[in-house]
Amino acid sequence: MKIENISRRDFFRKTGVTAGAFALAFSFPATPKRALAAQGESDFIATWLQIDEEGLVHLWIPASEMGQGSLPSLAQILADEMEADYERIRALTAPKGDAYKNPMFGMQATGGSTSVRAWWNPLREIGANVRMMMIEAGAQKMGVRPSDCRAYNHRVVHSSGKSVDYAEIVSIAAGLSVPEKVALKERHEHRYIGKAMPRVDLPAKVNGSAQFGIDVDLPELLVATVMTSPAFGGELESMDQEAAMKVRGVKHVVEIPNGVAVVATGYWQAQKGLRALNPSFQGGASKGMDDAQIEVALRKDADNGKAVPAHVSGDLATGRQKAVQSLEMEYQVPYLAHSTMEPMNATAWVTKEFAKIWAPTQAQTPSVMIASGISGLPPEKVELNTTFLGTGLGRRFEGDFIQQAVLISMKIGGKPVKVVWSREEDMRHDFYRPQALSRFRVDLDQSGMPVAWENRITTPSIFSRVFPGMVKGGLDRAAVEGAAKDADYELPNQHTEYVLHESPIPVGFWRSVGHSFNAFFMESAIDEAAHASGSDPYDYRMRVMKTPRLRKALEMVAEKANWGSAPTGIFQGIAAHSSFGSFVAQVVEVSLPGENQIKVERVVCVADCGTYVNPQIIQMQMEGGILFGLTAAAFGDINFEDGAVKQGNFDSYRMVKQKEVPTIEVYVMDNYEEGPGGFGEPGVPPIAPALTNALFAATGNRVRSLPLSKQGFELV
Amino acid sequence: MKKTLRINQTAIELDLEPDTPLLWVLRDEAGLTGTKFGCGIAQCGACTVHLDGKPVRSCSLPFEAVPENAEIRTIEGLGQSRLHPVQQAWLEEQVPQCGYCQSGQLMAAAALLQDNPQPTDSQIDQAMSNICRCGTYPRIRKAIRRAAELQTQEA
Repeated sequence: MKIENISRRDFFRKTGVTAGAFALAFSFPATPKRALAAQGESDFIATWLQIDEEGLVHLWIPASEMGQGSLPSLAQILADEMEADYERIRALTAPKGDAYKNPMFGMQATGGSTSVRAWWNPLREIGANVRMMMIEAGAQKMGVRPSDCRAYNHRVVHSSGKSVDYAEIVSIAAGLSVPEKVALKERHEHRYIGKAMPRVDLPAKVNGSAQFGIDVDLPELLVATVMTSPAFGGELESMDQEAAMKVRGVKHVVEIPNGVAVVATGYWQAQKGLRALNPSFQGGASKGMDDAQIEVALRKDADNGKAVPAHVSGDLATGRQKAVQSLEMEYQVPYLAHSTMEPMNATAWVTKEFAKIWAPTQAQTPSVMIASGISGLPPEKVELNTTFLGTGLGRRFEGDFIQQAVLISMKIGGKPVKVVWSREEDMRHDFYRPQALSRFRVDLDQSGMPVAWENRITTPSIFSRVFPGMVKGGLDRAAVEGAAKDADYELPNQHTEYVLHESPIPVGFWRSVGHSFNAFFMESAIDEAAHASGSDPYDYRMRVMKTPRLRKALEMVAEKANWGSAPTGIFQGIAAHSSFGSFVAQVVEVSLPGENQIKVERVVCVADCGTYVNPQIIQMQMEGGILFGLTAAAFGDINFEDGAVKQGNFDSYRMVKQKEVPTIEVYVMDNYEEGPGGFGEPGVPPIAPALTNALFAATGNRVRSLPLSKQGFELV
Repeated sequence: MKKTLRINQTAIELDLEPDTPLLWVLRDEAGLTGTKFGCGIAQCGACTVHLDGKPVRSCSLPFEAVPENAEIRTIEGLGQSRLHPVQQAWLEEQVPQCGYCQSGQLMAAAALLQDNPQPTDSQIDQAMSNICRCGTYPRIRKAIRRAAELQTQEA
């Protein structure tokens, strides 16, 4: 990492920041200095932390904030290492810039529960640099030796007791060179890291001032809404342009790939225009397909498709010689929509000279490439500002809505336009969590231990579309994650294979990706093995578990939930799964208030996310992950008719609501021996199997296909 | 159609198509973007505002159905001089995650507490039908109980 004091450069006037402030830029080996130099000053401007003359610290945070708490967590790291007063920091999402490339991805993007894991070391180092420079500046100001000073809460304090505020020394710091080497704080010196500090993004989120993509406003901004072919890949057939143009406020009707946009003075006018336009569509790769056909195609591949090994150890036949019983199981999950609370939207202003984009996006680098590709402008002429995201959930890793905004702006003569989708468009044009089918044959010996483990996972491939280079020999690792070599159990003679199921239905990253289904499959299969061998599901897991950190989480969750001692009428289920560098175990308690009714009374969750920045943010993510997974397990099911998604809104695609929400207890383990783990996604995978395992304990009915609503169970 | 509305205690004269939903009047005409669009069919509650003190889903309330001189209160007008007890409680309990649905949640909670200053958990469950995709529900429940306390202390 290279850090540079850029305070003396003359760009302050350009950015409207007063000269005399202190600012740092930083770049990484992954983004060589050459790249920064080649892109000129504009890129340098994007890469800094600044302390203004009032001593207010402005932080540009290199991760999109979609609720997961990356922005406040990363701000907390910087504030701690630089010894800032927590009240005097201001954190914003960074604009496009090479220095913000996620070190784990090599591109500017947010996903995979990586933000804290990727930025933990770089941001601590930047913060430590600031602290050292402030000490040096403070010592100069007070005429003392830096070695006799320390930084504390926005002040440089001399051993004599005299001190200066950072605000008084920014201009001195602005002239200093960056230290060659800095010492990071020791754990006991941390004042914010490791503590439940209030999130810096929340004040704006309780008074309506937080700016989401849908809130972007510019002079002369027009608003577009779109309709694309209900069958994926279909084309516009006919429309009544004249009728649309008659609607008050409608300015343009613009064709876009697979559909049409109506551009108007506001969203409502555009929607009315779209209704009057009454577009119809023809063709499409999915045209004619319904649920039954989709099911037949999936099963055909599961039966006869080309299976590639995902993980092979030992030999199935040899293992089976020791078997006394054999379990054959088939599990299945459906397509799911993301349903981000904020519908897809983006604002673009594209002229011959520049492209400016404002968007709630998880994928800055790919979005810039898309805009560059459509407009013909070089990437350095594309500006991208990331707003708050009204959830991302993986959906905002896609660039389709940005592509539309760029195209429409160009087609209406280089004017700024904000594209806002209806909820129906959002639900019908998602990149869905793929359906998946998992078949097991599990052989157990006399003591109930697995001696042969055969598993075939049939599901569409996300990476084949998104990053085809990552699919090698027909194996998409995301499709088998959590079930292959990375399975949390000791599985001798394991043969896990993958069948890539081709489908015209677009699939994408959905919070926890392959873990979202493989945890359900694996944790159900293990539960079945426990029952088949007459063991308690918790005891059995402890015997077969190979992941040490998950074993500890499992142990703790059993203790916290009082496993095995539920009151009469309450039934428990357990599941544990590791993903994204973290280890999560959950116990679900259910009751059965009426026939086919299921009430989730309590969920107890233990998470080992290694070293943590903010335990409360991890708790929030576990709570949210549990409810996200509960919604999917209880109701989530995207259906098809004539190649189009049947569901359109929250009346037909249900979300868990307040009255269905159980008591949730989350315990974050103290584990400073390990580096930080992810926390946005790992709470999701265990909840579905913990729930169905509890349902089995309650009813003897093993749910092998989700959602519960399809199996006749109603969540109350 | 011409009409005067009092939005956050400021009278605004509007000339709009009668079918324009109040949500888009607020967002696109009055520039008050704190009120959010989530579904357009009164399902999610992200657009909840107060109309003459009562919570309404503004995405499904056409301009023509809003009475002349009606008092509209949005999130921007909820705690003007200082935070409303629900806003205070929301911060104490660290409720929001992405924050998108929270304006609607806060307006629904404020209306509930005005009606019923000491709601039970089951009354909270019944009254709060807004959708939150982040799953902030457990904290919303706690924050409403906390806001009830704060409100009592203030009274």
